[in-house]
Amino acid sequence: MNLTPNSLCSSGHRPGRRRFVLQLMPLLPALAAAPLLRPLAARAATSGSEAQFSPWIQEAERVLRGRSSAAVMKMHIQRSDYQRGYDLMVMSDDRAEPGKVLIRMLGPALWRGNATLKVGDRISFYDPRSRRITVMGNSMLADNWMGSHFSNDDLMRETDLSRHYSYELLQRNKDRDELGRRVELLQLLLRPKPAAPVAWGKVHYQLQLLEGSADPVVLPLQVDYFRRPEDEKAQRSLRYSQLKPLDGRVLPSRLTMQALDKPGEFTQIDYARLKFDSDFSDDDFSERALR
Amino acid sequence: MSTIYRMAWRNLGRNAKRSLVTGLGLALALTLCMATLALMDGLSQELIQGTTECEVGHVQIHEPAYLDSRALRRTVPADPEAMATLRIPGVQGLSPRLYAFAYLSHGSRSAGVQLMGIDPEHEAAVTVLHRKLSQGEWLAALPTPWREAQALDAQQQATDQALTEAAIARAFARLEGRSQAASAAGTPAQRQDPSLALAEQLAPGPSRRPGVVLGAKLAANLGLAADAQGRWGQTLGLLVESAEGVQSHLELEVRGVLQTGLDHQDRSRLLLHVADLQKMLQLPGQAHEIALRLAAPAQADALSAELQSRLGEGQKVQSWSQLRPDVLALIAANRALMGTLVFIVFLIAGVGVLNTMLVSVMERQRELSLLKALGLAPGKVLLLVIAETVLLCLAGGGVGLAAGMGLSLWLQLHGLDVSGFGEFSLSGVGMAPVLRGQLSIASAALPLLMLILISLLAALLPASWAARLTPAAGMRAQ
Repeated sequence: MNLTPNSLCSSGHRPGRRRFVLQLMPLLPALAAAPLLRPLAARAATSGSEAQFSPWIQEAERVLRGRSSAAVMKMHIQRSDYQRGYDLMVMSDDRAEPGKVLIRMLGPALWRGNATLKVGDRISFYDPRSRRITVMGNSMLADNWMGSHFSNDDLMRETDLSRHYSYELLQRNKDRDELGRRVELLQLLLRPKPAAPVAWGKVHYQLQLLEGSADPVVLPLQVDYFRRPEDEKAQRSLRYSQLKPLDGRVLPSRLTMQALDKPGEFTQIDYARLKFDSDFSDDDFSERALR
Repeated sequence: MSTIYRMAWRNLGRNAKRSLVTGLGLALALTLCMATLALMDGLSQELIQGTTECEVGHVQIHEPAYLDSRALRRTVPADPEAMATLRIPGVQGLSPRLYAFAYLSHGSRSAGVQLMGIDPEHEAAVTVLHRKLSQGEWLAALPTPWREAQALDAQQQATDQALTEAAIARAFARLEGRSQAASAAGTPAQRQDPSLALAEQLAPGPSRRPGVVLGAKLAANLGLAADAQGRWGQTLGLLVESAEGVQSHLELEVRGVLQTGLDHQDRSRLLLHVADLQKMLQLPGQAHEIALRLAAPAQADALSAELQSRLGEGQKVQSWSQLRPDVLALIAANRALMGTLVFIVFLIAGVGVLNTMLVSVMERQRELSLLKALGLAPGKVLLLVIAETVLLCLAGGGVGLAAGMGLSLWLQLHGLDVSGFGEFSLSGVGMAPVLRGQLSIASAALPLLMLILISLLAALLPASWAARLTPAAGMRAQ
């Protein structure tokens, strides 16, 4: 795995341009924020209030998704009993309620043409061999998506780290990212608010702010998910790495989800291409579009 | 001694009506206790039988972590060779089973289901699951033929690669703009054809729709019903994920409907041939569970230990009592409850005896005093009263024993129809609507022992009162 543990990464930051819109692919576990991005009003990191962390996490979580996006990516699944690669095209549109996501499998043969569509709370699978669409119940949300370490829930639903959690700053220090740029590294501890409908007892979030700009560029670095609040060891860990230009910005192009309870198992997503602000119509996310 | 015995017998006869009523009370208590115990024994027996014959079998084999995780890949080998090694003396039947969760749809309705793959022939040698079929036909003995999967050859791999690249190229084109996307798309059916042929070769489907039997409530929830001629044969859609995480959709045909009387099973279970499920899950020759039927159920623990030592650590062998400790606990709790009930019944009966004997002794105060004055030792007076009590109890007990045996026998032969209360299940075992007694020595001996113990205790107070009478004072009293 191409992890670079102690490096920092930071997005391509474009001083003076319009407010930046960071975007998160649907393929990111858990979390996507409100349908419309709010401008990030915060000034460069100088203070550490809770009100400030929430938009940062929201930005980081949406870094590869944005308001609407389309991406071509490779997914590699490494399991103790098999390994497998998929080529995927993912489209997402969060500009209006309900949020929509379509994952279409481009290869290999056994999966080509399979598609998973989520519109609001409704998730459907299309199997080209039987030409049938199955609409899924909530019971299957926690199942793994196509044998990967991402669950259907991770891929499709919008749970929100910026809304259901409270924040605590653990550490804040200067560092350099993968590309050698000066960044500020923040380690946040997220605890679910009372009665919040969340799956995790505790989340450890590392993000970085690119220095030297009026609007800070926020990029996620690593997210560790703990099953229970008192757990010492995370159950799974999502790492963002391989900074490279995507649609005119420097963004992490590789996501690695490690199942820490199963040593050696992980699922890795590499973005080949990403395009933001695609003008999708509702037809692009209709059941007819699946076929 | 024999004088005292004769006197005691005669004394009982002096107030025959009172003795008869007390004796009959004892007899009734004994009869009812015996019948209740026999019924409880019958219920316990049926619980054990229901547990082993309807689902569990006497012994089961799993992968050690399967029962906790229910993970698809935690299987044990179930090919003919593996099955042959399990056929040790004492094993009557072996049934390999596979389980999986899937999504079943019919028309616009759908439901999550538990798939249970069985071999109908082998299953019948272990459980009576086939008798729970309420409508339609049972599973066919032979599995549906599936075409053999074949790996792609070099040329096909190249084709597959080209198809993927073409799809990626189209996806890229789509990212560039909508107009290009539209022109590059082609009709979906056209570009799918070669790909579908490859997929079919890698994971072929069945040559016809596999037949399934589903729970009665599940069928009702999906809006399924037999046609006017009582035939089924509807087509269902199943979305199932294989052990390798491949989701596939296939069609099934309804053969019949199963009614086990257990709500969760009737609501969610789908039975199909284990070989079909092995193909769907990509688990050839594997099972999640192997259930065994033994010639002698009492040897389940011994035999499972023997199998465990043969199979080693990779598989876990458990007897039904280890798998279903709740059933044993339920039986033990029932026994304790019944024991308490018998005790209470005889405590009340004992107070009745005590009352009878006290009155009888007090009435005979002058007579007993005269006996003592004439030289009968206090010990003999004590014995006299105890003998009267014990004789009364034994006479009542004899009658009660005979009546209790008769009633238990009737219950064993005819049973007690409780179907008026609706169907019921205990600890996940559906019970028959007719409760049957089970005549055993224990269910007769326990109340009888209780009877003798209580009668002795009840005799002590009047007897000691009589023995302590002062002759002069007693004769003067009226």
